Amino acid sequence: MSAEAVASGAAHDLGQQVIDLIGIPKDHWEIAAQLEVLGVRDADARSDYGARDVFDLAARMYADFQAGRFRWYVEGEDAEQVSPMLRFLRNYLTGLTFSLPMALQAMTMLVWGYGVWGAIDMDLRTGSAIALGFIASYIVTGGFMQSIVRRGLFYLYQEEEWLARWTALRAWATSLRVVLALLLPALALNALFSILPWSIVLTAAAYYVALSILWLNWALLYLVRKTWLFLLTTAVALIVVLIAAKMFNATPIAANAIGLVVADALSFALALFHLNRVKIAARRSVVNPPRLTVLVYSTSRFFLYGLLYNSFLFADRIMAWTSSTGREDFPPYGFWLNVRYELGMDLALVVVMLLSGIVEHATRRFSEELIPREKRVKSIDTQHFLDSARRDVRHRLVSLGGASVIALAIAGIVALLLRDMPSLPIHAAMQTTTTTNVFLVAAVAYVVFMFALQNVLMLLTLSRVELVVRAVGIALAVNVAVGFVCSRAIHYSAAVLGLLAGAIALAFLTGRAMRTVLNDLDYHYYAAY
Amino acid sequence: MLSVLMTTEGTYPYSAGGVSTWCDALLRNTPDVRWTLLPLMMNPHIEQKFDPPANVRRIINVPLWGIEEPAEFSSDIPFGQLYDRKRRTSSDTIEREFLPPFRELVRIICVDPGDSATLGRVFVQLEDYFRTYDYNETWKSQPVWRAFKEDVEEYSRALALRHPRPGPDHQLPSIFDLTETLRWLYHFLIVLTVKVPKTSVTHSTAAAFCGIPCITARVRHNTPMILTEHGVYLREQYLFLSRFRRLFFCKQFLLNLITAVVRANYHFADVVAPVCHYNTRWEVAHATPQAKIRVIHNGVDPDFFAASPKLHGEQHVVATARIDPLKDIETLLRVAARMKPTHPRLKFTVFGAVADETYYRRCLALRRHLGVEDTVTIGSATDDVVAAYRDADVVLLTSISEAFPYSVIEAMSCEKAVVASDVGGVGEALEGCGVLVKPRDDERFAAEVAKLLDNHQLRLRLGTKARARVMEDFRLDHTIGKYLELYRSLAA
Repeated sequence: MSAEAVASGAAHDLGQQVIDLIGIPKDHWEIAAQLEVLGVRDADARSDYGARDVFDLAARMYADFQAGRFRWYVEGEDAEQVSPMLRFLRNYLTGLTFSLPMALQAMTMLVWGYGVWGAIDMDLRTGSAIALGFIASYIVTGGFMQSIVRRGLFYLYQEEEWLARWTALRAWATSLRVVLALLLPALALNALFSILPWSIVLTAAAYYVALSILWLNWALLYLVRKTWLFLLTTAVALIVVLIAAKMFNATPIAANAIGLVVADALSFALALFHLNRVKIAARRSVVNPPRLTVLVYSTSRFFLYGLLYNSFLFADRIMAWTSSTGREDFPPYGFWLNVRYELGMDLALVVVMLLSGIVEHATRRFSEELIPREKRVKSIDTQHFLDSARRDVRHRLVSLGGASVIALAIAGIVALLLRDMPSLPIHAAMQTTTTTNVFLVAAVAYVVFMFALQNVLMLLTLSRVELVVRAVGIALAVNVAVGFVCSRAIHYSAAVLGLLAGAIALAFLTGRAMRTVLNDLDYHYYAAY
Repeated sequence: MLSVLMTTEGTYPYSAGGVSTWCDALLRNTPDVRWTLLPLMMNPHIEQKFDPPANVRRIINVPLWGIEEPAEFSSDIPFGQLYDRKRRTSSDTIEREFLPPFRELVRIICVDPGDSATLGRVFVQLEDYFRTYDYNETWKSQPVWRAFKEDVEEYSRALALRHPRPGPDHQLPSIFDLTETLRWLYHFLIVLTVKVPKTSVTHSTAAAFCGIPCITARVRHNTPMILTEHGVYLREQYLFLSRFRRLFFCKQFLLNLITAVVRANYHFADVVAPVCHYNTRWEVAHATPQAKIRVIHNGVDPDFFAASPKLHGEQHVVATARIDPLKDIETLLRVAARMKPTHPRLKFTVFGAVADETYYRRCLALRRHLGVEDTVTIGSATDDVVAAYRDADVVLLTSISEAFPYSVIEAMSCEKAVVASDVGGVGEALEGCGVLVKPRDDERFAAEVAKLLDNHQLRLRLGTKARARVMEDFRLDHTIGKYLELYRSLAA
């Protein structure tokens, strides 16, 4: 559109006022809209500014803008306020919140002989029952935990807090019903085929239910971003267990039962408190919730991921404890806990604890830096964006590599120190080749696994859950197949080679998936949300 | 029997306000019309503010945001069918059947938002596509991203060459710009997944995305379309998107998209029926032929908004306006501050919900700053608006943007003296029977309000004239009659 220049100083001042308000005008219509809300009418445009009407005045101003007669500016992006070191510490501590409950329990077990689930003095029969209940609870709830968190976070990001609470609590109740319902076929199967004695089955069932509730409650706490409460609930439950056992001479099972009830009740109460708080802040009620079928469908991939992921973590133990090859403890039943194996695995977890913060930091930064990086780069320079993202991921892998060397060294030192402490109740087991071998292989496997986990979390950040499900599915199959063969053909403890092979497979597959995604990161970020 | 599809956007039946009041009155007072209601909602979890009457046979809710994919709320399509659509959607089908109309859409948005005839056809093609294939799988596919990126880059380069300012730095999209704009397209066009029943007439209550089903019905079946503009949607969007200071490309793209949709509404509507003459300025400037335009002013029920003289009590200035920057409550506060020394016992009450929390807080801070906390009450809710007017000596409206506000004609019907800013169609209602003031001019507002408060006879005279004007020109039954006549003539 051609237009005369603005007639007078007053018009220029008015135009400058508009430009200061909006920055860069898209066209004269944008200026016209602003003029109207500034109170300029057609009559004013004529009498005060010599234009035909508001539209004409706006067109003149836009022509002046194009001719460079107005000063204009656009604010730059806000710089990050937090210092890199503080940010790293914050992320590292967040990562630690997932592993600290585990570490705390290991410590109380070593020092006082009690955990929230399990005690040093328990016989192997009870220990096997607890292990069975623990593994079953972890695997069964894995999918539900992911679904609760995934959908809940979706609503929280949409600022639909009340709906996040509604779906999370409904999913929690449904999950619990499934957890309980699954007991029926399990008990029926045992009744039909007498797989395990009823004392083991019933103890396992009790731990299975109590621990399932705990994991589901933790999913709710994760949803409300209060992961430090994992540690608090564990600590309170441990204190209760120790008081029951040491002061009131409760049996280990009774002490555990009291501790678990406290942990369940406390974690649920805290989760409900925080969910209610966000709901109250929203000041609304549930209206028109989504269709159940579509809800199930849309979270199904995350459900599958959770199920496979948790199965992967315990597949080697199942292989080891169902094999009799080379067992020094002559297992009386098809499933029998082995302390030497478990101890080796537990010690190797030091690696996971130390590296979880690094992985958390890497994943968060990957996600946090995506948008600023996308804003900085023009789409015609996409290659620069892709190169810089690839460099960043490589840099994070190198950092994880460095941290892994340190973590392995620390885990080794911890193992050596514990080995040389005869006062510890685990001293005898610590001296065995089985524990040492399992520890060494598992520590390496966990390092590899943490590389894979970093990939997994980055892929999930981009909602590439189908790639993750495929990778975890294949890795689980490798874990089970290698673990099964080795634990039967070589030695029961060689099941840990399954974990190693599975972790390598997972790292390879997720690494390949990451490379594919990084090659088209612009597309994958678009498609993620 | 006459059947009408009414489409709304962000209004009836999910939020209060002038448009919703108008919709409710129209639906309720046309028992012989079989209505289908299609509200576009910003999110699916909003409580209904209105209970549509029984002659509304079907409500097709279309949430644009707050969902992971449209399938979540397509309650009339069985899950099996939705799953089949997902399974059927492949890169091949997308490239073959979706990309041609999609690329045409991108061209229209970036290059020629005025090509309304083509846009109408593109909408129909896309609607057809989404009846067979999945919406989410399609939009989130790599071929769509690549095509979008390629085309937008090319169009932006050409534009940057043509216009020296603001320069390539702002005109060429960043990756973030492309990501955001394509995601917006995904959400804004969700309405294309809806299959609406064939009706005698369609009636869009805004020249906006809610007009798309009316446009496609017009292209498909030649169904006559009426468009009512309460505010000017295009202008409102320009104002809203002016906030995007840092994201010039996004603002430009979105405004082009909105312009294309608005102009398509004007193009395909058989009758454009704005609620005031003032709105026609933007409509005509955006290629609406004058011959198509037929202004139908809002109307009120004069028996409900009956003359209600104030019998006693302190002097009171009442405003019925939501707390929103466009209502310019700050000017009202300044008026109160100016009048406080001369009218120390005068009270001001603003009846209306808080629409913008940030603005509300700003108003409260200004009220504190001006020392009129004991004079002005802001954000009071009322279910009895007639009682609110009854208690008023003067009704005040300080808006900087209006179309044809109900608050003015309601107050006029209640025989009140009204002082209002001369914006939009306010003058069409108030000229000669109330006081018009240039917007933001708090000094003048204060002077006019003081003049009325100090002159009982003047207030009475203006009130009587205002009521007479309503009885003559702004009665609800007249308004409804005009719409019914329009429906019948178009359906015939």
